[in-house]
Amino acid sequence: MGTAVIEGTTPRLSTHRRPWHVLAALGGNYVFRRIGKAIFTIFFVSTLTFFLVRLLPGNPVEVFIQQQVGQYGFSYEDAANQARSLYAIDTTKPLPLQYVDYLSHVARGDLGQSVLSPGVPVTRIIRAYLPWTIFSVGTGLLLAFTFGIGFGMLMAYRRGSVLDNALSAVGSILHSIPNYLFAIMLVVFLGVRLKWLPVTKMRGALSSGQHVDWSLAFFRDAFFHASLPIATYMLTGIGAWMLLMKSSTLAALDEDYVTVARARGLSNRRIAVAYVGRTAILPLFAQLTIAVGFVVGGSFLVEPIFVYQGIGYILYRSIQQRDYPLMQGIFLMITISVVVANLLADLLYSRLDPRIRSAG
Amino acid sequence: MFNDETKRIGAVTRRRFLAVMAGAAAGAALAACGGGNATDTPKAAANPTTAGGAPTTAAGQPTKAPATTSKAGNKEFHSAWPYEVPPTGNLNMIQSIAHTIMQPPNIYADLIIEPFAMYYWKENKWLPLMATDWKFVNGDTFTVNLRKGAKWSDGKDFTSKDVLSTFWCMRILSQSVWKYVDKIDAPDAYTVNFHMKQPSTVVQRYVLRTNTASDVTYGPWAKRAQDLFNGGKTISDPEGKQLLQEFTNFKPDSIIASGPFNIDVKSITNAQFTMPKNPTAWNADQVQFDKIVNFNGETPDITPVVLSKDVDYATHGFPPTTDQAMQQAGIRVIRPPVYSGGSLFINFDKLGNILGDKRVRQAMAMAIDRDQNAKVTYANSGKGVKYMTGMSDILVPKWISDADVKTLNPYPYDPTKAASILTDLGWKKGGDGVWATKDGQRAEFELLTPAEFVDQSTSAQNSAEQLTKFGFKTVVRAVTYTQHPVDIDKGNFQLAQAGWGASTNPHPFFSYDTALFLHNTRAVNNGGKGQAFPLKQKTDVAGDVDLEKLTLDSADGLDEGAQKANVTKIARVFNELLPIIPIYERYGNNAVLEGVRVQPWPPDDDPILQNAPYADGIVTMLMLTGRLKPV
Repeated sequence: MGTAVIEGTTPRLSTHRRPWHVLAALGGNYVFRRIGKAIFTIFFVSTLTFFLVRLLPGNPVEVFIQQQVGQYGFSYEDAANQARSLYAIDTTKPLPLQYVDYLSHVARGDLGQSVLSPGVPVTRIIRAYLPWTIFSVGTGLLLAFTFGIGFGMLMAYRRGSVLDNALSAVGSILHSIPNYLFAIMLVVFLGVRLKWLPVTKMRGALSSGQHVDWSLAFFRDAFFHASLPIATYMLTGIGAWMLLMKSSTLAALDEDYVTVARARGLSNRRIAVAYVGRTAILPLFAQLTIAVGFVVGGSFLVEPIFVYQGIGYILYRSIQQRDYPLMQGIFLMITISVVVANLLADLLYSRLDPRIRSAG
Repeated sequence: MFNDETKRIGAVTRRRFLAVMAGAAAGAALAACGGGNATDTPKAAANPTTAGGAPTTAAGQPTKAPATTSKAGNKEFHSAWPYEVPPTGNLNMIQSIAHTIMQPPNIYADLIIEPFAMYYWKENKWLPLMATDWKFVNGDTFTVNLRKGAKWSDGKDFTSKDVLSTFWCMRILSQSVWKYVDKIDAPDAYTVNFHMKQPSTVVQRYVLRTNTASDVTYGPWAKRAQDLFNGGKTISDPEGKQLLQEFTNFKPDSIIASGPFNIDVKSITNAQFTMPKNPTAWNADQVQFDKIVNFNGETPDITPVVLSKDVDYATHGFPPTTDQAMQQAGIRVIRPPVYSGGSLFINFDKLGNILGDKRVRQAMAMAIDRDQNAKVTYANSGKGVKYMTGMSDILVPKWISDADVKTLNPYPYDPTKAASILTDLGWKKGGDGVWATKDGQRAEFELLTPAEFVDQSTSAQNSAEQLTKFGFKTVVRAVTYTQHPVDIDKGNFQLAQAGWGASTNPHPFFSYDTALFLHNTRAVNNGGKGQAFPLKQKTDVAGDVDLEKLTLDSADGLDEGAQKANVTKIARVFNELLPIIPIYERYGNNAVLEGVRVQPWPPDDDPILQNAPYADGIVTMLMLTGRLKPV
């Protein structure tokens, strides 16, 4: 526990200490170690992504050239010249040079321009699509978490009952259905077959002609269109939270301090909220933080089904069309969000449970 | 110790954590509300002179979620066509700009900026639109007379100035028409002359199917192009590349329309947009609908919308199961010919020692039941190829006389005869049922197919099974569709499932271009040999032939009679040599919803339903002529 005194705080360094002493001190610091690891992970994954993306068979320039040659009868040279100018990308440039270009641009916060939409920066596309995904997946996640821990505690308190068995079965089933399959079922059965849902009107992120503003109409419309994605994320995510919370609560119920609290004559409600719930929810915090990191990636297969205007939808299109800069930009963003979420989980958990921090 | 420590580091409690998470959720919601207007259109002004709003956009008041049924005074037509929303999508309406929403010459873009004319494929006649008449003059000039009195949605007259601007912009993009044309001039406001350096009848279609855009938007670009090219520069020079890059980055914020509809920019979402009526169009009164609501999405996205009866017409390639479901739901399916289909391409560089002899290819053609293959692939929307000429069976009677048609070998399904051909050549069947040449080369092939295209993969699988059953052991290898043409061109294949024919141009030249040049002579420029099929051949029907010259001659000059003679010759040569083996001809399975918003369409035997649905849109021409009516 001795080292714990300086961990988590900015070390006070005397001015006469040499740089390597400073680095050594920082290296021994829990926070800086985690941040350094996160930065390295982002760098490593983005490098890997750069090369993996280029290993994908087919590239947009070749496809475009083939189209020009095939449909319009261009010579290969003419089509290639046109493609190079149109797409602002030169795939004939040596890969290491492309990589250096990529890194230098990323370092300046420039993710490049979409290959298939010349003149449109990748950051602008991400800005246009990302908020909708954060809204829909984030809301679905929080609803799943909130209801999941509620049902989980209920199941633990009613363990062995019909309710517990029923909820456990429901939770297991929901947990086992992939979200994209659930989304398809919503559209096909509730939308097309039974016609309970106006799936045509619910497509997209907003109704045609509805502007983004601070009106009630806008919020109603946004929730109307996001309701199916939110329901999908919530229902396919809630099962895991229910089962986790149930097992965590069951463990907490067996603790001595709960027995003591009962012996002290505290009300069941107070024991549930202040003793059992608080302890049981602790491991779920870290998982929730990590799940937040997967918000962006989790929408990849769901958004195209609802034609929802999120980052998963545009990622799907960019992969189909081999839009390298856009793919790289989105993958980089997903990487950063996951790594930062993990970092936050580490840091947060170290504060919620100091034993983690002490163990390093 | 625990409590002290916790307090010292800022007392992050579970309660505080939950509060932070709640805040984060609220922030996320606010972020979604505040920054997600993906319908923001790039702020590249179409033209400063139209600032303040052209009537086009002024007329297109934002509308809330559209009704799914028409009401009095609100006669809607619901279309389905995929598009990209801004900022990736744009409104630059010159052909071949990437990601234009409703890019000309798509069937709905023809309703926004009309072409000079559209073509009735069955009847071989034109429907005049922005041009009233046209003719070839002096053997080297194509003259077009423009419609007088036609107006743009900004109130300006449609004149030859608009045409010149459009064609100069098309030259920036190296459009094919400029391969034939070297000079365009306008002697007056309603006449345009296209001087041809290489006279050809195909120029007529290239010109007439061009969608003219407004000089107000494109005039400045045309001026720059004119200065560049008249100054002796080309698009490959640095100045040319700069102009090309700037032009492809040009994203006008609205469209100035000449047709009866225009895009209401404010209505664009990634699910749908509205095209309200443009009252200034010369034929606005003839069109019976007040607006079009277009739904976005490729086949999987649009299928539920179609089955929900929210789409009046969809041209997507639906799989047979969806086709059946549509019919069960009471949705009519029309099957216009696409004038193209699937075929087997052969790599003669790798298989020349086995399939180099035309008689083996002829046996191969007879070893595949093409009707079965078509049925498996497209159900009622596929037909086995009948004439085996390299062009659509529908076009054959138009270009080849009955007497010559009778000389064509239809290669009926006859595995016995196919086997006897091979036996006559000294081939033997091994104990495992696989044929081998008299040199002992086993007939074992790999068939390359694009993985994502279900129709082509299905056809390839069926062909492979039939060939294997016959004794040509064939396995299918699927690659992603973007890699498929590259692999063919580079010669990384033995057999390949690929398209034949031409869906956008009725002249047979384009079909032979696909069969003989696309993955053959042009593949050399792509770093490979492609099919590696030699174009100089000895034939029984025409002696020594140069297929390259024959193909080029088929479209050369303005004498269609002479062209027919060349087309007949090349068709017979193709039929004998089978450089590719056509398998099926595709017909559409377009969803037509009748009685909800739209009155019944013409019957199946109406000539308009023989139009190529992606080239001269059936719905477009029905709408423009007033034949399509709301309920």
